[in-house]
Order: sequence, then C-alpha cells, then structure tokens
Amino acid sequence: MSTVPSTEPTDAVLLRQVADGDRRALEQLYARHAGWLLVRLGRRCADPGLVDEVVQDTFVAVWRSARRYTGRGEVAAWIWGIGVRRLVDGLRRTPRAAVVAEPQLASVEMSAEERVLLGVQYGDLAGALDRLSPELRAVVQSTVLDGLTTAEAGRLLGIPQGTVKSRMKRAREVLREELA
Amino acid sequence: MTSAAVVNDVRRRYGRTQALDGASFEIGTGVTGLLGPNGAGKTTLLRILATVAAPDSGAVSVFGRDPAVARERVEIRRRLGYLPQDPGFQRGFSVFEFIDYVAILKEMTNRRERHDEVRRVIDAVDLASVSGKRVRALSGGMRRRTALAAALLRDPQFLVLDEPTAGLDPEQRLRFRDLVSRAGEGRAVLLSTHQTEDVAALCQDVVVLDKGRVLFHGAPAELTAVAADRVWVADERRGDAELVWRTGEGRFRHLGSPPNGADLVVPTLEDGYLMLVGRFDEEAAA
Amino acid sequence: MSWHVPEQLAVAYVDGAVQGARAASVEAHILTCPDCRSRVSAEAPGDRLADIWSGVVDEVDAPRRSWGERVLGAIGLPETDARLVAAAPTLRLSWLSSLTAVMVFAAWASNSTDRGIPLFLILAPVVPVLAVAGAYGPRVDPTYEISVASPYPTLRLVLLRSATVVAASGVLAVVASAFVPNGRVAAAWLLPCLALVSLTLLLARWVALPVAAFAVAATYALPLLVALVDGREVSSALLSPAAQWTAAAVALAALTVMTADPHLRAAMRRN
Repeated sequence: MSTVPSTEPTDAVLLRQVADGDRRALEQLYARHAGWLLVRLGRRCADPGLVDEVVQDTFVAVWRSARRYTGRGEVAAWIWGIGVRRLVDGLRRTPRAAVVAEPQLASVEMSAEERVLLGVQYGDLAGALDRLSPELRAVVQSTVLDGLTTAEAGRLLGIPQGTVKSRMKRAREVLREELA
Repeated sequence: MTSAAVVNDVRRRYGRTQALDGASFEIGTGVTGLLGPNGAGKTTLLRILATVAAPDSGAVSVFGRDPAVARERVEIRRRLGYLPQDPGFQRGFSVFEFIDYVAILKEMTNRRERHDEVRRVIDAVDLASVSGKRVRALSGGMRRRTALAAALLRDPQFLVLDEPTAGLDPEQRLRFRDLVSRAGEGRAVLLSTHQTEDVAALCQDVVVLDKGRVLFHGAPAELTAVAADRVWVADERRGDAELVWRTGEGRFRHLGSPPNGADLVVPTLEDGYLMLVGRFDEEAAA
Repeated sequence: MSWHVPEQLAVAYVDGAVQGARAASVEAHILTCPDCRSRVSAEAPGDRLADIWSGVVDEVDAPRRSWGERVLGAIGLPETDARLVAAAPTLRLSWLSSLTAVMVFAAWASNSTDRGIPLFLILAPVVPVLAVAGAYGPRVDPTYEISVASPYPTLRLVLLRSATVVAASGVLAVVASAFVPNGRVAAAWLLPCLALVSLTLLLARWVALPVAAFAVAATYALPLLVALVDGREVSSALLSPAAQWTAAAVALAALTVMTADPHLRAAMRRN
C-alpha cells in the first residue's frame, strides 16, 4: 500500500531511530507529519497560538516516548492520538473556544470498525450524518473520527461528560432510525 | 606571518622525567603540525599552550599575552579551543549536554544563542544524528569528534588539538582535514599527531619534537627534503642503512647510506621525519 | 485504496474552505495514505512550521535539569552556574552513598561502643571535607582539563561546588547527629568542620582541591584516631571550650585570608 520510495525510510523505521536519539530522524518525521497535524488541529481550535504550542509539544513527546510506539498501526494515527490529547489538555489548562468544523462523514472513508462503533451497518451514512444537528455531529466527530474518550470529547467541546454521553446516545438513535 | 604563539626556552619536569628541555619556536596563523615520538613532550607542550600547565622556566606567549598573568590568561582562554589528549565525559551526559556544558564554561550565558552554537558545532563534526545519545555509549571516533566539536565552540582563534585524528577511520580523517583546514584560515591551529600523512596533507608548518627539544621547524617540504637522496629501494635487506623495512611490494626500503644495487626514490614526509628522529615511532609504524 | 485527495481538495481543506463530508474524508484518509498526507502537508503554512520546529529542537536538545539543578536554581543560582555545580562528582550516587555510609557508621558507633562518641567527633567533621575532595580537580572531574582551559573562573567553580557539597553533606551529618545520644556531642563537630573546610579551600589556592582536602582531613583525623586506638581520652579534649574556640579562630582566620583575595572577589562578582 505504501507508495513511499524504497530509499526513504518508513515512519516506523524513523521512529525507531528517534528512540535511539537521532535528531535527523525526528526532523524527517516532522517534515512528514507536522503539516497535516497543524492543519487538522487548527480545525479543532480557534487559537493558533495554542495549536502551535500543541504541535510543538506533540513532537517533543514523540522524541521522548518514541520507545513506547508498539509498531502496530499507522505512525500517523499514533501521532494524531498524542496531538489531539495534548490539545484537549491545553484547552483544559486555558479554556479557549474550541471550534468544531462541520462534521460529515463520507461513506467512502467509513471503516467497518467505525460503522460498528456507531452501530450502523448499511445505508447512506454521509447523508444521515449531514442531517444530524451540529451538536450531535460534533460529538460523533470527536469520539469516532478523532478517537477521543467521552471525557476528552467533553473537554474539547466544552460540555460536561454526561452531555457527551447523552448526545452520543441520541445520535446513535437518530442514525439507526434513518438507516434502518 | 603574525605570530600567534611563542615558546621560548621552555622547560618542564614531571618527577624524574624532563618532559620539556628548552623548547623554543614560534607559530603563526595556519595549521602547524607537531610531530614526535611518544614521550617527546608533545602533550606537555600543548597543555602549556592551552594554559592548563605552567612551565618550570622559560616564557610562553599567546597572541602577545602571558599565560602566567591571571588577567591575560583569561584573555587567552577566551580565544582558545582545546582538545585534550584524553578528554573525559560526565556519566550520563548526551553529546548535546556535554557540548552545552563546555559552552557554559566558555561563558555563553544566553540559552538560545548557546544552543544554536552547540547545534552548529555538532553539525560541523557531523554528529547531529547522535546528538541525543550518551557520549559514553558512542564509539571512540565519535567521542573524539564530540570533544573536537566542543573545542570548536565560539570559533576560537587558537585551536590546540592533541592527537585529533586518533581513532578516526580514513573517511572521518578526510572530513577532519577539511574541517581543520577551514579552521586554519586566518586562525592558528596547532595539532599533535602520529600520522605523517596528516601533516603532509594539512599543515603549512611542522615542528618535530624529541626528548623535550625542537629538532626541526619548517615547511613540510623541508622536512621531506631531509631525506632527499637518502631513500633507497632494494630487493634485499642489506648494508648499514640506519632504517630498513620491507614494503608491501616485498622490496626493502632503506633510509640512510645507499646499499649496493639499490634504486634511489623520492622521499616522503615520513622518510624525512624518520631520518630526523633516527628511529621508528612505534605508533606510526603500528 | 481507490480514493485519494485531489490537489484542489487538499488546498481547500487546508484553507478551511471544505466542510461537510469531504473534510471528514480527508481527515480519515490522510491517517493511512502517505501520498495524500504529503499533499495536505505541502499546503500547510511553512513559516509557522519552521517556527514550531525551532521550538521543538530547543526543547529536544535542552539538557534536562536534574533535581539538584532545580534546588540550586530555587535558591537563586543562575541556570548556567547551577548546571556546572550540579555536575560535581560528589553529587553522584557513588560519592553520596559512601559519605552516607561513613555517617551511618559514626552515628551507630556513638550509640553502641564506648569509643563511639570520640569516633563520631572525629568522623563527622571530616565527611564534608571528603565531599569537597570530590567537588572538582584532576582525576576527580572528567572534564577537568577542558574546564581549566576555559575562561570560566576556576575559583568560582571550586567555591560554588564546595559550598553546595558542604551543604549537602552537612545535612547528612546533621541528620546523623540526631541519632547521637548526647546533645552536646551532636553539636560539637560543627565548628571543627567549618575550620577544616575553610582550611581546605584556602589550601586549594596552591594545590589541587582533592589533595588539599585529603591533606587537611588526614592531618586532623589521623593523630586523633591513633590516640583513640591507644586508648587515650579524646572526647573531652574535642568537647573542651578551648578546642571549640580554636576551631572557631582557625575558621575565621582562613575565611578572612580567603575573602581578602581580590581574584576571588572578582570571580564571585560575575553575573
């Protein structure tokens, strides 16, 4: 699947070199991943200063905890996991307005796993999601797409954890009805 | 040639060993090589020029300043980069941490500037890929380069390097020559070595030290010329030549008086050095 | 995987012009597709990324401050000095643990044998002197040669490190004193200790610090230990007002001579 030319080391190889204290390898990982991370986090938070800080913290964390990468799963997903959690922590320290972009999921990119999480298997998922209210969609996005726990999603969205749970429950019901 | 360092009749004794016995010379900008057998007093001389040791008698001056005077000594140290023969490293320090530590000793108090400078010298010796690793976990050549990087901090006007090429592989030695020749532009570099090739490739000036005295001081070509018309190659070991050894091609290289039926060959710097010192230097031959 | 992020979509996504299902698709897709990831990354603001990178580099390279450095920083020592001081060999575990062993032994002895009290009085003041021996010097400090050849004043390094290790080992000795049965004995080592440390530092003007420390420690402790082994009375002499006053006078004299040195003043005035 990977179309990275054979001369270029894979992310996993770079991460192993980072674990060995290789700063050049970290620089290469940064060149590959900082850009999209910056953009994607920027869509979750209106404060560019905080986003910059979070991206910086994320790569410092990659440097310090590269050893903890198990080798399973995409390095990009691992980095995103660190980044989005740092963003949640950052928002908790200094509450600033979190901006959640209009979340809509395209059917082409919904994995089976994500469908199971939502409890929906068939039907026009993208269309159904588009018809959700913005509040419900935000909850679906942060828990399913961003991979946050209900507590973290609550912090990202600035709502209590209980509200996240009830909105998620409501979203599931709506989706099941629509796609039944 | 403006003189960077002057050594005048310097003597220094360690216990029963007379390490330096009236050494005198003067060096200017550019790269000067210090050659000599083991125990010739090279390290003692370099330590004195690096203001680490003081002579028992005689005078030293660096950039016209006297290291015996506290205030002038500090002025010398501000312009000095020193690679000791056997640099030690704090347990647990990474490459970056060690060089940063030396940068603090070199009075770089501004954190940002200091870290930028540390990164610059780490790149200069090509160690960026291991900058986060513990120095003590690195190979000998890498440790040597780490200490060399520390010597290069703040772009010193006077670099004193005690056997900088020891433990380097041929490729690293090539890189090192490039690094030092650039450092020698407009600045003074004094390096001791067992490698006559380093001197031939790198130095504008050679000082040969033996038994604490200066045996020779001049250009590398002049040192080579010492052996002119005195290097012979023959098929067999013979005659009363002072030094003979078997070369890789299976012939015998003779230094000194001509054996019968031998061919006169063009001398190398090493021939000149060996003629002068009159014996093999165990480490150079090894 | 058949679906990829086209160029215009990447640009629009980065600009925030794409909402809806397409934005979510991009986000899910770039986690698994390196090509699309680099297409999106290429559109990210380069100057911001460069700024962030220099921040990352600085954090990553920055030597991590040890707890010792933080303590020194908290009492007002500049960051750079704290770094040099915290590298004192005495502060390494091997040194600290052997000093602790000496103190534990002395405190134990003072409780269990009749010669224990004088033994404590002999050993307790020597422990900080031994700590000074490991603060700086040839063969003790691995970067000694480089330190000497650097413009940072050696005197300053010697004094800052000595003060730190004396304080650290002093705490050790004070804790050990708490277990000494006799309160007068527990306090009697302080003035002799001060005298020995100041003599060591004064002597260090002429000889290497470890040499000075061992010489002072031996000159003080060896005759007393010999006397103790001979079965002579040592405690009362050490506890006598005369001994205490002598210690105070020696300390005062050594400190006065030392602080009168203009080089020392210049070295300590920096920053």
